[in-house]
This record gives sequence, C-alpha cells and structure tokens, in this order.
Amino acid sequence: METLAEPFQYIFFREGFAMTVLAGALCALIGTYVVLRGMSYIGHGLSHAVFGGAAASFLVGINFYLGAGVWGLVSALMINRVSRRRTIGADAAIGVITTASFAIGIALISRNRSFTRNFEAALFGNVLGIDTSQVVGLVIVSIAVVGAIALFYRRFLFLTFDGEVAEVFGLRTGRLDALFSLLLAASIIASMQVLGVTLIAAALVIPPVSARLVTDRFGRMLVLAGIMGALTGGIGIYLSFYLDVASGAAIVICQAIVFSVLYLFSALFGDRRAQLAGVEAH
Amino acid sequence: MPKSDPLVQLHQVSFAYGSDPVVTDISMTVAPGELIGVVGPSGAGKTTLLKLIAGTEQAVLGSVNRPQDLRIGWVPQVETVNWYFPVTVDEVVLMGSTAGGSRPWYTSEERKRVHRLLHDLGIGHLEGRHIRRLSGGQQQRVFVARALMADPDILILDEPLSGVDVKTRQDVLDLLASLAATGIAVILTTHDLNGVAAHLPRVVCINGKVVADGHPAAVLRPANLLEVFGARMEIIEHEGHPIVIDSHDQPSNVIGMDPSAERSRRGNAG
Repeated sequence: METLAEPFQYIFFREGFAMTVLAGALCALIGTYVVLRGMSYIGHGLSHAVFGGAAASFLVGINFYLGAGVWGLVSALMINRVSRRRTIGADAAIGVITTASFAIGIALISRNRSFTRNFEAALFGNVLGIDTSQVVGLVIVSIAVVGAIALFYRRFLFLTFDGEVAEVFGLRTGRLDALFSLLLAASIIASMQVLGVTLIAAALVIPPVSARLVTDRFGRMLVLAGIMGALTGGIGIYLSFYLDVASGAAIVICQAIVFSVLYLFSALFGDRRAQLAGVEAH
Repeated sequence: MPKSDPLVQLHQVSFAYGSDPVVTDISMTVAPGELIGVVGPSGAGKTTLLKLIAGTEQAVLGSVNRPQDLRIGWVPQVETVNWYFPVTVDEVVLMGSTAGGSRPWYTSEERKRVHRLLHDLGIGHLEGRHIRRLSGGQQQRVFVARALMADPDILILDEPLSGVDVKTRQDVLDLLASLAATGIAVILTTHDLNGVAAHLPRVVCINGKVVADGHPAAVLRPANLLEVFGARMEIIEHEGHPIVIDSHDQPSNVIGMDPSAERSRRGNAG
C-alpha cells in the first residue's frame, strides 16, 4: 500500500496530479460540445494555432495568457467566419488558419533558440514543470467554463443540437458562438502546459465520445465525459510516474484504452439494447 | 380565409445569395389561423421564403413587415436533424422555451407543459425516449411540440411530408389543421400537390416568384403547374378537390385546358 501511495509523498506529484485531473475534466467538458458540433478537428487545429500566439507573446515580452488568449480567440473567430463561406467549408478553414498560425510559432522559435525548451513543454506537456501562475490560470478557467456551462446549459444545448433553428427561436447564436470560442480557446491555453499542444485534441475528443457510447442523454454525457477526463488524467499521470513516460502521452493512452473497452462493449451489447427498446409503430 | 390583420406582409421582396437571385418580387401576407402550403420544384426558393417570413434572412429588395415580438415556431426538415445527437424527446421539446426561459434550468412548470403537450399530440408515453427510436410520424410530432413550446404566432414547417407514409401524412395534415383552428398561422413547404389540394385551404405556387396564390382549385391549374414545375400535369376533380396527375393522352377531364389548343400543340410537336 505504501508503495502505491509513494508518488503522493512528493509535493510536485500531488500538484501535478491535481492539475492533470482538472485539465482532463476541463477538456472533456468543453470537448463534449466540440464533438457534438462535429468540430473535433477544431480542437486539434486551435491548440496548434494558440502555439503561434504563445511564441509571439514570449518574443514581445507580454503575458503568456494574454498573448496566447487573444491569438486563440481571434483564430477561433476567424475559423467561424471563414467556415461560413460554403465554398471553403469548416475543415478547410481550420486547416488554413491554424497551420498558418502554428507555422508562425515555429518560425519565431527557430529565430530565437534561447527559449526552445519552454516550447518543448508547450508542445508535449510538462505537468511537473508547472508554475503558480499556470495553476491559477487553470483553476480560473475551469471555474469560468463550469460556470458558463451551468448558466448557459440550455442555450448551448440548443445551439449544439441545431444552431440554425435556435436562431429562429430567438437565441442570439452569434454571441453564443463567440462565447463558446472564447471558452474553448481559454481551455486549450490553460491545459497546454499539462497536456501539450499535440495531445490536447485527444483530451477534448476521447472522453466525450467514450461517454456517448454509454448514454443517450446530453446531461449525462457531459457529466460522464468530465468524470472520465478527470479519472484518466489522474490514472495517466500516476502510471507515468512508474512507467517513466511523458504524462500527456500516458493520459491519452489511458483514454484510448477506456474508449476501446466501451466501444467493444457497445458493439457487442449496445445495438441489441437499442433493438429491445424498439420503435413503436404509430 | 381569416379576416384578422396579417402577421407578416411581404411586399415586392427579392432575395439573393451573392449575385444569384433566389426569389424575386414576392408579395404575400400571412394572417392568424391560416393554413398555407408552399409548393414548387427543388431550388424554387421555398425554404428561402420561409426564412424571409421567419426573419432569419433579410430581403435584399422590398420590405417585410412583421411585429417585433412575433413568435416563430420552426419545424425543420427531418433530413437536417442529427438523429444520433444524445437527446431524448422531452429534452428536445424543452428547447422550444429556451429563448424565453429566464432561468438556466428547466422549471417544473415547463416540464408539466412538455408532458401536457406530448400527451395532447398522442406521444406522451415517449417522453424519455431517444429521438432516434421513434417512427417518422412521432418524430414530426416531437418537433411540432418543440415549436408549440415557444407559443408561436406562426408555425413554419419545412417539408413535413417528406418521406412519410400516407397515414402519417394524413395525421400530420389533420394535426396542422387543428392547430390553425386555434389561431396559429401554419405555413409549410411540400412537394406533395395532392396532399395540399385535399387538406389546405390556401396554396402558394412558387418558382423564384409567386406564380399563383389562393385556393387549391384556383391555383392548381395545368398552366400554373407547367410554369412552376416545367412539366405537363392534368387536373381531375374528386369530391370538389383537385387531383393532380401526370399528363396522359386523354385531356377530356382536364380542367382549365383548352382541348383544341392541346390538339394543336400535339400536332406541332408531332
């Protein structure tokens, strides 16, 4: 038992564990909307876009959160705007805007090799190197996201299910879209140090799709995704301690295992359950 | 036709996506309690007309007069609904009162109202069921219930008869007629000419512009249908209702078509 509890003797591990659990839950919560809106690629793209903002903010010496935040929000809004042009489409808009932004980040780093190490952490995650400002940032963003979801639960649900019709019913979908983009960009920035740019997309997508396999209700999916994100975050960093692998990678592998098990289970039993529920002839 | 003041008035309205005109010079009114069918071929601008009435598209030319507090209930095409989205029947219906809801959570009054609406529409027993596990008619009723949750002045339905069987079509049209009788203006688009001829008191034929607007017997005429659909159709009467059929070589029962002109046309073609 003592051996199992050994990592928790170290303060750096306890802090890292708490941050990973929080980042896992945060990404899964906001990721539920991302997945259901068919925007899974945006998580991948936006995390790369934010990287450009992070590089630029280091270079000009402004606050990381401010620089990356503004950059991420502008990227998200640009994607929203460009993807409305039917000749381009959302996937292509994300591809163009986010890769260009990522390329700017790479270009800035390649000219200023002095801070290359910081960006390794941003790319692949380094939860044990997290500082106080990043802890505070993650906690504030988590509270803001949970608060916004609670406050706008009904509106976000309608927007996610059928945004075009929601507008007819009087919802201000443009404002809600902008708020969602802000929350998503903030979540990605706050989780970047923990999970890394390259693995955030997985943390946004895998817990929600796993939760979707076990429930047909939106509210339950949201809660289950959050729990799965938190649990796999905690288990992942715990295993990374013993297996001596990168924490972000361990977390995503845990999430992929959970998904695989649930997928297998639903493939074997899920359809049969649906058939038993049946469609009433009426 | 009801004599009340119109809820919406379109006056010489034109609309375009970019430089491509979709509808031009549309003038029509929608009054409380009216039951209107909009017919026309694919790409005729039917859905655009609905959006202009709902106010989600703005006229490029002309004017649309509608009260600011006009409440719209919209029933989407079933093909556009994500049936795999994790929502149950009651959750979908509750969306209808989202914009007007002052609280972030569902109130017990709202839940009671959902229960009552679903019961009135004959699907009260399906409240907690996932939307994918419903028949076509039940799915239509769920979205009608959602629209009714908004207490609409106008209920708009985009292709509600698409892909449904005959019994469901009759049920849906009967339901809409009963809603119109309560004072709600109901307007729907459809390709089902005989469905509107038998059930609806007013039909609007459009193909980029309004070709005819009025009672089905006056609107569903071969000349109008030829102009709108570009296809020859004949009309026969059954118990006072026009029935549209594909053109045959026997024009004797055709209403509104001059047999001599028809013979002449065929002679020229031959």
